[in-house]
Amino acid sequence: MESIIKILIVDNDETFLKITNDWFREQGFAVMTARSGEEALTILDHHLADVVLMDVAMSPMSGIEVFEKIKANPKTSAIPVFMISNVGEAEYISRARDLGAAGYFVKSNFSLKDLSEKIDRILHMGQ
Amino acid sequence: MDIFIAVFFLVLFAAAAVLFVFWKDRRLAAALAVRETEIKNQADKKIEEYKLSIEHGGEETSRRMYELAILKELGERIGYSLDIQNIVDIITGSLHQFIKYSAVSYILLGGEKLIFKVHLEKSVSRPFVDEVRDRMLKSLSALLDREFKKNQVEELLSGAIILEDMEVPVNSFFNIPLIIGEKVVGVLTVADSETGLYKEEEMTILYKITAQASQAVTRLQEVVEREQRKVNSMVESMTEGVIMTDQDYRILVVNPAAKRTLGLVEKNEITVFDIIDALDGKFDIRGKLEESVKLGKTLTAEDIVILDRFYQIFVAPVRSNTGIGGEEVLGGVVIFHDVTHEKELQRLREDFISMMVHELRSPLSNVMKVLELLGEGTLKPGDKDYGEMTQMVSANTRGMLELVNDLLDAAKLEAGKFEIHRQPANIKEIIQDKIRFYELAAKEAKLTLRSVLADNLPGGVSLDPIRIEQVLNNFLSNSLKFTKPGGTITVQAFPHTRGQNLDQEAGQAHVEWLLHGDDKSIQNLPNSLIIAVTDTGVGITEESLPQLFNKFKQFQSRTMRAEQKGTGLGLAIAKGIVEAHGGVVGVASEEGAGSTFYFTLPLQ
Repeated sequence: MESIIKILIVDNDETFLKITNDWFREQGFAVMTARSGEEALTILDHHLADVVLMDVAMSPMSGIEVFEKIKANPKTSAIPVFMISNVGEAEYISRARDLGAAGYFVKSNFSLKDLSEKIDRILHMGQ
Repeated sequence: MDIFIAVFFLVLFAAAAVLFVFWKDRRLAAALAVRETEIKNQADKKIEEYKLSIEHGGEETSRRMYELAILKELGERIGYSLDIQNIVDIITGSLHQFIKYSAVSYILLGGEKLIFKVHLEKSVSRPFVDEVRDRMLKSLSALLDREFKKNQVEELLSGAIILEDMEVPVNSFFNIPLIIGEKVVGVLTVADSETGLYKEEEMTILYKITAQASQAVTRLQEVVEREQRKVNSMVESMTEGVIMTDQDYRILVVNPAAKRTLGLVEKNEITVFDIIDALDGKFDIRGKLEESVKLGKTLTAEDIVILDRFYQIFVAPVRSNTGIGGEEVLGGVVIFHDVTHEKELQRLREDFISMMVHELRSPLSNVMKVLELLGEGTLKPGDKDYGEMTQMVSANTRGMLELVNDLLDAAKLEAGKFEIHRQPANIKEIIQDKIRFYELAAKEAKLTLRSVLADNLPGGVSLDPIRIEQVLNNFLSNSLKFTKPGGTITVQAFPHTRGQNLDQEAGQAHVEWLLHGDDKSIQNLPNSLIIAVTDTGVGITEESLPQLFNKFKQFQSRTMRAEQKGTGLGLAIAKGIVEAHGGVVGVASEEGAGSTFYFTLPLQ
């Protein structure tokens, strides 16, 4: 039996955090949540995550900026990061892709099931 | 680019090219017809004169006919030229056919230098040429009452060679001023070493020739100036900023719109440096002009911000289109097209989309996911989060429904199809209902909510109770959002009698608000009900006050949206409702002290 997968969810939308928290817990993940990019980086400093789910539209530090920091840190650079957003702007998507995001989801376009399937696939691919 | 704008600029560049041709090339198709008729008329007139003289049978007939032929030839050769030097060259080139001279010469006033051109029919000595020059300078000085010196002269020599041993003095000399449009532009001279050559005969013919040339040029110049004035006034009255330069990037034209754009309205003599300063590094006008001329094409720069406005800037080379000797670059033109309004609309659209994303798409996707949790059995009745989640779904859907209603109301307002359904209603009851409705929310926010209602409030006022409630809802929910714990929100109402002092009436009703009776929007009211919601909230900055009731304007204030979720449509709709009742709506505020939102309902 493989160890429990640790997921870090970063979003300033409390409701979304709550929903995804409930969902991934039920799916057997160990869930950590952060309400801002700064909080996410602090958490990652102490607890390594196996996968990160991160909102793009946050302030003051945007999801993209946080992602860049995660990639720049050798300790965290290998963690697959999924970007999520309410907007499907092409420039964000291509930027996230260029930076090596594991995926980009527009919140209204995917179900929780899709999301966990995709995460499963990526994690098993790496093994 | 919009096709209309493209065509517009094409026309503009064409006009600019024509303008340049007027200035620089001095050849003008429009003036040709005038010139042609003129030559023909003059020739016809002369032919008539000489026919008469032939009839008189004078012995000079053949000579005169010869003169006439020369004059006609001259007229044709001068053609349509506006270049004075060119015309004088033609005259001096033909003069030897009927006047005898060693040297024909002219001096023309140029820019800094005087052009002194000498054509020698016979070889003369250097002192001969110098003497001619000095005598011409002397007469020019006398004509213009201005001192001209030798060192100002640029000499051009042609014809026979100078021989130093030909030491003959100037014995015959005739000097004639060259006048264009009543202005002396130079002198023309014939000189010979022989004595007593120039008598009345020769003088007359010279006068005739120069007068004819001068007249023709003067007329032609008038036509050119008239056309030039037309183009000038077009450029002057244009709403687009236009700057034109010559090929050395010296400024030829800066129209009023360009001066406004650059903040140079007060300045008279505008140089390229003034313009570079005004552009403050935002647009490299010199570099772009050079590039445009070099590449021979129009360059476009988008979204250049000058003095808080957005511009699209076009830079184009201006070429001569005379068809003579190919195209010649005469300079450049820079056009400033103000796109601030388009920019604002674009921003409004973007803000609107962003609002839709936050207020509709985000709650909808959350609702969808809660339903998925329920469907998958992840969330079940009795779970810790169950109550909170279902409440969230209901709050989100209510919010979205309100948004859709607001958007529909705004669309109705926009289309002018906003209807109200009047019925007699008791305003006192409506207000008290609202107070009860918001009591709990106020308590939770640790706010005092109270009403101050005048004793003499009329009952049975004709109004649309649902819509008026909507206005009160809007005012009250705004106040709840922007008032800190410990604050007070007061709903106040009192009647106003036409012509009475509103301040006094408010005082009598014990109304405390931030409004002053001298506020223009509440002057000259008919008999009305005045209803106001006053809070002790954060207040509103003076610059955002006028925009509060504008549709969609609140999208623009991003900081406000961060604090206050919503569409910003509420106040615009409130305004629409009150105006449909024939009343006025307004706000008075002191930053940090609070705000009063009020509306009036005319009593019938």
